[in-house]
Amino acid sequence: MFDAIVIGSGMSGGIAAKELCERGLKTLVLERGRMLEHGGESYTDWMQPWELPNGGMIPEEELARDYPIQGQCYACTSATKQYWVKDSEHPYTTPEDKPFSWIRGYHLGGRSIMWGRQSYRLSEMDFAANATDGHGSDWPIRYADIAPWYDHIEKFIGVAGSKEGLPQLPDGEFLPAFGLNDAELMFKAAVEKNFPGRKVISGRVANLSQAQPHHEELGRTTCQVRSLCERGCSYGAYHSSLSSSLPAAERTGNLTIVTDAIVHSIIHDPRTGKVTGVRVIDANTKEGRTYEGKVIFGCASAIATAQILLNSKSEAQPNGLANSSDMVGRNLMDHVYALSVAGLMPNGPNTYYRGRRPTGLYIPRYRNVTEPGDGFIRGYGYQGGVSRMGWRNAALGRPGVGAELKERTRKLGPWFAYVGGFGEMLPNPNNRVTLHPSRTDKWGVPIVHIDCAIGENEHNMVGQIIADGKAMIEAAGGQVISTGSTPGTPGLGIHEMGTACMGKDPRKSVLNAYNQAHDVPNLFVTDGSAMASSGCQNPSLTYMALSARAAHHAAEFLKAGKV
Amino acid sequence: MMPIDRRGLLQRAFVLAGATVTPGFSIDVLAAEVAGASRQLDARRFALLSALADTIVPRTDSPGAVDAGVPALVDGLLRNWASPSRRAELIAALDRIEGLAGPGGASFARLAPQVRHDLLTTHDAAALTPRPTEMPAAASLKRAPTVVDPNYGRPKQDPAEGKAPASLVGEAGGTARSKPPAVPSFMRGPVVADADYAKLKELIVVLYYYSEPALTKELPYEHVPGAWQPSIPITAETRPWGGAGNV
Repeated sequence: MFDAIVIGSGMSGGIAAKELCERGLKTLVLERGRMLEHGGESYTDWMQPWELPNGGMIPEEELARDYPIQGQCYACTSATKQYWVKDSEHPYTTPEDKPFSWIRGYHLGGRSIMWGRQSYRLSEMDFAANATDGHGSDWPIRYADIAPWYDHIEKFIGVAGSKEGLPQLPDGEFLPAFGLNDAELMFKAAVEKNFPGRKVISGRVANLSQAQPHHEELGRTTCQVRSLCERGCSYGAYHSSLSSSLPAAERTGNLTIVTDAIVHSIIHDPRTGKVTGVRVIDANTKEGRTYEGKVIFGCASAIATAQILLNSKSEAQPNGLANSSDMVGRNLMDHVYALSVAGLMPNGPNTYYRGRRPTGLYIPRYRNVTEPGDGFIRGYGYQGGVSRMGWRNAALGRPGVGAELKERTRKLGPWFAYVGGFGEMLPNPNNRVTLHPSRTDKWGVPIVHIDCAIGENEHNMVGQIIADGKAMIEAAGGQVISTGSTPGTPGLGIHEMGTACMGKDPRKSVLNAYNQAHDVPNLFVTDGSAMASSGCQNPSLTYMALSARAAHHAAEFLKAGKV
Repeated sequence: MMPIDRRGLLQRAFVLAGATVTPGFSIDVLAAEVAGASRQLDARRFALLSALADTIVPRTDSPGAVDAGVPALVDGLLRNWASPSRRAELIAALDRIEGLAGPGGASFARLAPQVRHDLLTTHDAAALTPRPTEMPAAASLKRAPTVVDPNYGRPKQDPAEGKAPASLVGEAGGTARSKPPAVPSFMRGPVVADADYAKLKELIVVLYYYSEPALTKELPYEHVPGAWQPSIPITAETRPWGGAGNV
């Protein structure tokens, strides 16, 4: 019998495990994928460009056969394919006209190894949004409830960023920001002068711009500015479960990790109304076994957690575990994504930069903050950057061969500005994860059916995301050369969330203010499932803050005999 | 494209390389490349590939594609990376080079470097000619699957190989169509007269610039920069950073 069982070892599970272990709870982490070690064989950050298998490309037939979905992710290469699931082994279905790209990694640490590391707080405006406009479930917490947990997480993981004093993007406990380059400073000055209320800031990123003693205690060191992050970082310079949260959990002596353990369902005792344990299937032998725990944390990621809860139906909970509200699996959200504008800045400064910065610039939301939105509620932010076009464009961007090709490739390229919008997606109960009525995977677990599309409000943002991007690049003297005005397939933002939403009303939500299931007192869900709204900010920091906060309360409840 | 510039460049190459006006390996050297290892390509095609690589990226004052072993690398990609259809397309594109000297002309690999250069320059320009008439039918073109760059704050100015950068591709009916063919390669994507030649050239060029000789003698590369310097002055010696991905 464990004090706590954490399902999943990624972004949320790693932090939940650390916080539970640090509170003295004997904690079991169940991971469906294989064991990985920090700095172990899976890391390929040592590979020089000339050592990349097949020049970085996954063989075409293998890509088509095993990675048709995962291969859509920019970070899926021949040097990182070990971190992505084979779609051929892990099927799911969607309606034919509603594709959803579910990007996953099944191994210890989950997607915390390949994550983009952008780390932003939600604000008071975000936590009040559902109450204000009536969409989704009103968050049962407000910014003040989570602010100290954001502090706690930022300090632990290490977030490089600048303090800006923006109410819609609260400041945090930052390490020094990775500075903007001269062209970005020019872009920033032009945008902020021409569009009062808009800000261009350095992307806040979970890379150690300056490792602190508490990072070094865990073996983590300062970022070497290589931008090889998604290959695993032997320096431990960005936060991942492998380099950061699980080692912190381990040093308490309270952590047990079991890998290759696919959670089939959670066991519910109708007499007590509590959950008692977790049924797992061994990924290799397909044998079933059960682990018992006093509290259970669902941290398997939004879609997988919904799958587990729905598959845990029982006589007492026929609609799925903790699902009396019928909200489990509903309100699936991602961010509206892949809307981008790019241009050249011929007036850019006559300077260059050195190093491969692991972040870019960020433009916090201003629509429906300081400027109205044209036909939509909520809003969007941009990630982007201004950099010099590289050798590839110089060499291949126009015809020519021979010494001339080499010579032109030695010249510095023009400054190239790029901004990509990330739009808030409204919670919509019809965007939904269900269990497939008949198909199971090779372990006998019902596969998920994902039925999700962006809605009218999101479509209404598209035009303004593009128009604003153009206007800002042009304000900085840029010439727009391309736009991408077709929203990406949902899922490709890799920010899926909302499938077990927090809320005040047990009839309309799954989790209470402590991420505790309304229906089951010793069940907590702290991954993206819990999100009642999506904001437009990258959400991992919020998952981690909610995980730490819930772990604190779960430990208190246990101590008080309340769960 | 710009004859005056090119002449200037060639003169400089002459001074630096000190041998021939147009740099390039002799047929003997190219033939030596063929010997030995087991190849996907037969000896004739491998010699042709070697001559093509040598013509696209010749040795100048720095190593060229043959110095960097690019022909064998491309051969390896044909064997290990390319699907059967891709392999056939690339080989067909390669075979089109063979006949550039015209009916009855010598094999491309046997031509003098200057002749190869001139013939390939013409072929290259024609092959990479944008095909704007196809733009309205962009949806029906062979497109790579959507490439996602959540970007997470960093621009991917260079598309990953083999993938059209969906977020950066000019859209049919959008503003990009009304613009002249722009500087960046991603604006053209596959919409050129000979997409298979474009791919073959891309593989040769990218494998060259990923190579250790190129990244020690042609472009600067630091695997571990160690620190971010957002502003450094440009000098006469400054060249763009080399490397894979985000540079």
